[in-house]
Amino acid sequence: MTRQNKVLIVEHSPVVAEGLKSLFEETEYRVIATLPTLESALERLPALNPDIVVLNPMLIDFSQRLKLRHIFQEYPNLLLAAMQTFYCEQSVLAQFHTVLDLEDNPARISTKLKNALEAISHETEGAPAGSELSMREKEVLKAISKGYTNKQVADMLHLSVHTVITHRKNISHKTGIKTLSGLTLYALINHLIDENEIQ
Amino acid sequence: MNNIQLNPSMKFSDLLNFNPELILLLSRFHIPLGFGEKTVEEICAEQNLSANLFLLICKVYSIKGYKISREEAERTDMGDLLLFLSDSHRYYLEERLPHIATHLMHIAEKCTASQGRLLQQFYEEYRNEVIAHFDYEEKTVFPYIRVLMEGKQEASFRIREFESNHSNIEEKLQDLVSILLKYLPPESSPQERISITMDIYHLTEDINRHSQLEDHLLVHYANMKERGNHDQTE
Repeated sequence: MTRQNKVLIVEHSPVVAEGLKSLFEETEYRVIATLPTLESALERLPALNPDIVVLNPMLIDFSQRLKLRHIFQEYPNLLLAAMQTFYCEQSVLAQFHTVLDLEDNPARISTKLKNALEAISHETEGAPAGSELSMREKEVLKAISKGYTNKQVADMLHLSVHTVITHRKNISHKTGIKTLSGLTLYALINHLIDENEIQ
Repeated sequence: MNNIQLNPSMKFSDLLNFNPELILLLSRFHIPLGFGEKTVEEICAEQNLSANLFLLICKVYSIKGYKISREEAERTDMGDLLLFLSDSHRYYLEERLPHIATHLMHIAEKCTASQGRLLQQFYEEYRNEVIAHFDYEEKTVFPYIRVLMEGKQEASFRIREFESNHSNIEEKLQDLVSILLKYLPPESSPQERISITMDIYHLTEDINRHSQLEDHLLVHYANMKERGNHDQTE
């Protein structure tokens, strides 16, 4: 896989923007620009060509708040990370590939972005049908087979809900199994879980 | 397959030559075997069944992706359609599912104990889902259509509730096929697995056509009636 490490920060607060920037210096990711508004970011996006956009969800115009994927539809390979500084509704955050928190340290940020990049590359390439499940997909499958909800799985594995859903789609695509009880049966047959672990 | 061949004056046996699988529909229309040289019209008249509706259902079941025209929808005999849909529900529950269940239980016996249990549980869940789905239609949707047929309007229900609740009961069947073909240990009853897969395939196709009839004919009819009733009260 080619290196995907160019980050664009879209954040109006200089404290947060500068803080993020310095944390990113301790990771493998490189901040290529910091912009204060979503509009300016969208304008510069083609020229900057980042791999990752870290965006404060509050900067999305209210009427567009649930249309994030639509706003970025021309950039299917772009990873969208939310930088949550205030409370933000789950429905808005769910559109992002991952969500960063104020408490995150550089290692945590790095893990979150790496996991999300892995999921997104499957999503856009279309997970090759017939290939084995990845380690991450197996983890997600194990958790949902045990009866955890998407939200709980997201919390347990430090993923966004959106990423969990993407993993689920890829799992279903590979196995040809869509329903929860079908996936549970699959997990059991393949010894990913034990019968007494099912709730 | 060309639908121009299907008409009320054709010989009934020619219809089955056209698509032998239509024979699976006969019990649901209560049409007995032994039709000799009778025409479709004659056989339908004996059963007091609308030949138009019968042929329409034959088309939907024979021609993949058949589009029901507005005209066909409008001349549908709703009473006959409801009887057919109910008889189909009975056919699925009392004939097809038990047949699949019997095979599944054989397969389950050849798997490990826990796989077998889960397989049975999976089937039970599916069966309950199907029962709930049909129950809703029989107890809520079909009676509502009958009320509309009498020219009345029920205050508490509208057909769009059915449209948005009409769940997909084929999904679990497809999952079952994946599991049977791809993931059970190869040595556990391979022949039975192949034969059951074909049964499930036929059932899935059948239920697909069945849903198509419900989604197009029932919903179309109810929408038309609801609009009419609404205009009258204004």
